[in-house]
Amino acid sequence: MSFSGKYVFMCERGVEGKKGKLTIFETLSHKKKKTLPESIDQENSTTSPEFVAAAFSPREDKMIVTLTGAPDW
Amino acid sequence: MLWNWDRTKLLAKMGIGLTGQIVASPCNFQVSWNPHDQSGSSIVVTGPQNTFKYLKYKVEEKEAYFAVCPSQINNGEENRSASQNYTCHAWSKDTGMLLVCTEGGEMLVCENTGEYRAYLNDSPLGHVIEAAYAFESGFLIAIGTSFLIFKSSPGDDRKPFKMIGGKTSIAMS
Repeated sequence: MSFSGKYVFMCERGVEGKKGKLTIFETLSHKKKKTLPESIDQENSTTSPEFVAAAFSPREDKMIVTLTGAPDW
Repeated sequence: MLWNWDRTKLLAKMGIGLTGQIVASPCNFQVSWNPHDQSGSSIVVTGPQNTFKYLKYKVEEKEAYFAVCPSQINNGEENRSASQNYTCHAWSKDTGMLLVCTEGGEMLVCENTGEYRAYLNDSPLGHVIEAAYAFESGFLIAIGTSFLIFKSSPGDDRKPFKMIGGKTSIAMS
C-alpha cells in the first residue's frame, strides 16, 4: 500500500510465455488505475514472467520501484 | 525498475547482479525506499544469495539511473559467518537504522546509509525469520508461528536493539 493509503498494488505471474504484470488500484473506489508494463516497448524491457517485489515511494505516491524475477537479475 | 506509474513511464532500470538458478529456500526478495532519506532517492533490495543492494536514484542531464552504494553487509565482523540468504528487512522508525534478517535467524543492523553496524546477539538462530515489521520504538520479528519483540536502546552501540520478553506464539489450538 502507498504511504498515503490511497493506492495498493498487486503483482501477477504470467503463464504460457506471458510477462508478469503489476496493477495499481485506488483503495477507496477499488478502481484499477494502471497496469505495468503498458506498452510493447516496456514489455520488451523485461524477460521475466513475474514481479517478485515492489514498493511505493514514501515521498510520492506516483513513483514505484519494482523487481522482476529471473532471468532479469 | 523505477516507474512513474501515473505517466506510465519507465524512469530507470538496472540488474541486481544475480546469475544462474536460485537454489535458496525460502527465496524471498524485498525492495523498499529509505523513509528517512529527505531526497527520497535511496532504495534497498534484499534477497537470497547475498543480495543486498543499497541504490541511489539519480538524474543527470534528464537521464535517470541507479547508482550502487558500496555497502557490504557480510564483512562487518570477523569470526562470525551469518547466512547470506536475506529473507526480509525493515527500517527503524525511531533510529532510522536498517534491520536485515536471514534464513539462519541472524539479525544484522545497518546504518541508515546501508553500512554494517552490529549483529544482534539475541537473534533467534536456527529459525528462518520470515518477516520484520517496524513499530514506533522497535521491531516485531516473525519466526514460524511465533514472534519476537526488539526495542531500540539508544546509546548502546553494540546492542542498538534489545529483545523484550521471549517468544510469543500465535498458534491457534
